[in-house]
Amino acid sequence: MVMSIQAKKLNYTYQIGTPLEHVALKDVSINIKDGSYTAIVGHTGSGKSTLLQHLNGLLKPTSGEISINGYTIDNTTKNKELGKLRKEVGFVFQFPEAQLFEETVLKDIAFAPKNFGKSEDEAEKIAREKAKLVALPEEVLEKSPFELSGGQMRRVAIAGILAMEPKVLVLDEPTAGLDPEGRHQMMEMFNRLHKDENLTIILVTHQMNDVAEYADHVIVLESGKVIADSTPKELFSDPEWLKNHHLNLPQTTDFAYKLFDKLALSKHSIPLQSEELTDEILKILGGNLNE
Amino acid sequence: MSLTDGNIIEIDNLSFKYARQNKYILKNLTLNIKDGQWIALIGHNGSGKSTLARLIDGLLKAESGSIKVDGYEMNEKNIWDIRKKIGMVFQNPDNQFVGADVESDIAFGLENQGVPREEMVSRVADALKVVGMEKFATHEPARLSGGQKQRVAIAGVLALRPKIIILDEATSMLDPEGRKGLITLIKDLKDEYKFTVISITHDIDEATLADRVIVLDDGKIIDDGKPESIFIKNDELLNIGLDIPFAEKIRRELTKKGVDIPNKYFTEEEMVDWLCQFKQKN
Amino acid sequence: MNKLLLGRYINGNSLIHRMDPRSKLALSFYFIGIIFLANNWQTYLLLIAFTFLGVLLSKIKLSFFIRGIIPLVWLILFTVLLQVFFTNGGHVFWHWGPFTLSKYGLVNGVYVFFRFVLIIVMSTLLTLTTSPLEISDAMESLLKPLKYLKVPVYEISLMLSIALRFVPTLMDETAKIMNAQRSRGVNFGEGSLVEQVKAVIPILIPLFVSSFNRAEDLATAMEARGYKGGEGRTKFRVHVWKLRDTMTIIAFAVLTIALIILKN
Repeated sequence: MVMSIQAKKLNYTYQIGTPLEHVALKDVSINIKDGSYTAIVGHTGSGKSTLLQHLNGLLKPTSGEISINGYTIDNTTKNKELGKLRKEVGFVFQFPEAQLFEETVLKDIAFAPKNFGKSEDEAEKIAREKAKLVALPEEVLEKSPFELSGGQMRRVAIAGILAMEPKVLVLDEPTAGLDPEGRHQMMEMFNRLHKDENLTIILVTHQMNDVAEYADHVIVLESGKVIADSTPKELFSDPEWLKNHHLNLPQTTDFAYKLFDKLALSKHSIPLQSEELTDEILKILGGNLNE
Repeated sequence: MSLTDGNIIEIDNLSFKYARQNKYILKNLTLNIKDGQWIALIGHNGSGKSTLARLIDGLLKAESGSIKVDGYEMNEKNIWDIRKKIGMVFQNPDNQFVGADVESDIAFGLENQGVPREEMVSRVADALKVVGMEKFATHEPARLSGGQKQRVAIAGVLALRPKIIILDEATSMLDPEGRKGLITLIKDLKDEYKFTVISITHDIDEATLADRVIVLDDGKIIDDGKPESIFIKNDELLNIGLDIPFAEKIRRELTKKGVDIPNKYFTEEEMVDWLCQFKQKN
Repeated sequence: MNKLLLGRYINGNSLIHRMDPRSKLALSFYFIGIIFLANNWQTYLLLIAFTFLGVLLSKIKLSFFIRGIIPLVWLILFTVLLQVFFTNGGHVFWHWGPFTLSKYGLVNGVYVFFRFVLIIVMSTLLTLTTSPLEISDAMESLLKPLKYLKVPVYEISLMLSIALRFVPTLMDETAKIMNAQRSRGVNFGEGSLVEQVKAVIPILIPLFVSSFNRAEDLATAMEARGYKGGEGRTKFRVHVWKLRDTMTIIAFAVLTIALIILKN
């Protein structure tokens, strides 16, 4: 079976047939491959969160369809069938620590597997594994989640999603509110999950630096429409277009352009990671560096 | 009132811990802040930055030590006078919006001070104009974006004409556009009204705008100086979990790869210029 | 999300919208009082005409008022049937056990029906044309005399206004938490009663935690902005009594006199 996410002519309208009717998604057709790291970018109100909610069946399309790892959802799909889908796609909401409620960290992580029919013992075993996976220290497992620091609470929430053993992980601005170190650790953790656990990652973010650093596929939404669907390299090679859509460049690419302009160089390859940027600079500076 | 050495805030040997806890959040902290400066207060989550801000505004009570704001000693008698001099903007745009709509929220602080209504109306209108929210005067908070709510919070503070504005991670919950807009606004306002700004932030680009950067770690000041001199010590910043400016990161990596760059702080523009000159020389 | 109780306010600029909320609130209560003066078809006709005039002046579609009645339809029907079958007098059409269908009963049933509908339409008119904020202002104003009884009217009104302001925020929050728990396999509105009650806990606890955090943040922010209780505060929001308010009061006075003259 091909594991992928495909939306075909997906439309979604809020409060249809009322004076407050509002079209959130217009003819969205996208294809997210199994094992990819896809970034979804767009301003507030671009339809990002509406699209995300379709990925695990929290919303059903008004028209068109979306198929996720073999499950197809359109407006005739029964709510009961959506349950299975939610197990396939783990959804980490913005500020996910807001979903914690159990007495202990371990119980909270075990909540989802129990809902999906695992026994108490099995669920606890999974919870211990996932706690390790998100680097939670052993001694916090029996504590109340509300005693932990903000960063740790977020890890508990993420472990609680991973405990469903999903194939796809949807991340809605997962680093919001963390300090730089916490942000970096969190992004590295997702990257590790992507590489080691073969998780398909869908990341919604405003941080173009993260898009450049981690993603291999990027989708840009504006007013409910897909306005770009390509690789980060391709997207960031058109600064004019980005500027017209009020989107930033990653710092690396931005710096490279400034340098290219000053040296009147054109048609250079676009560096995304800082390693690539410094290599590029070395190339430009030429051989004799240590005279 | 003339200030000693032009210090609008004088903090002497300040310590703070929560009741029933052993760990000091701030320990023997001494700090003077000059009138009219932009101060960036940085440090990782839990380093004591927000606690310090709350102590300066009298929202928390120190265990020992003293705080003087604009010549007034912080105590029961002066606390309300001191609060009048300080405007605070907090992190979460939703949780500081008291009024039912934009103009009544801006008026909230004025109402507390018992400002007569006619004056209130004109001050609210002025503040709305200054932050560019005139069109939203009667909007409820539910119809505003996070960035707009923070503008309203700033307008509420400006209407009180404070001498000091404390931004407690005021931009951290905004998207890049909202963040940039808010910082530009505060910078312009500061140039016009000459108040003192204390900005608690994780955003390194925001910190580079400051006249002076104070680095807090574990309740102590571990570094204090001009941005250029702080950011050159990149290892220390990394060790306490903070970002370093991008140009500095590049400088570091290039040095590692054998490029002979002087060991000083560059802005991105200066770095580009230096690289160009380097290329032309060789 | 706020299509429930509070979304009922419809923005507008009609005469009724622009009236002082204090007079609107007071007159709505007054109307409920004088409705009981009516006891024959002339007085009811007068009240219906008067209410209809108010609806017309508000320039709000009739369908909004009908929507206000629908949720209460069963209550109205039940009360009307009670009146019809248990009121005796006049010509008896039908009789079975304790039930009688008499002329008096029928007429009374019709009156009770109109009494209900008129009260609902009038209070809907108030909520459709007056924002919750204005209503809370008006309540504060009308409760002012209670200050002499040491009731903290100002604090109550501030609490009410803050509560109203946070309703949409908390509704968003609830929707978000529900979605998050749904994603963790909770099915709301399914299964036995025990299961359904259990499903509420993962919503309530996070909601409590976040509300407490918000309340703490808000209290800090209010203190930082110099809030120290109602003493010595001035008010930004004031309402100005206009000619239209005086005119409306006169209209109500005329209505009252007409009702007294026309009633049996």
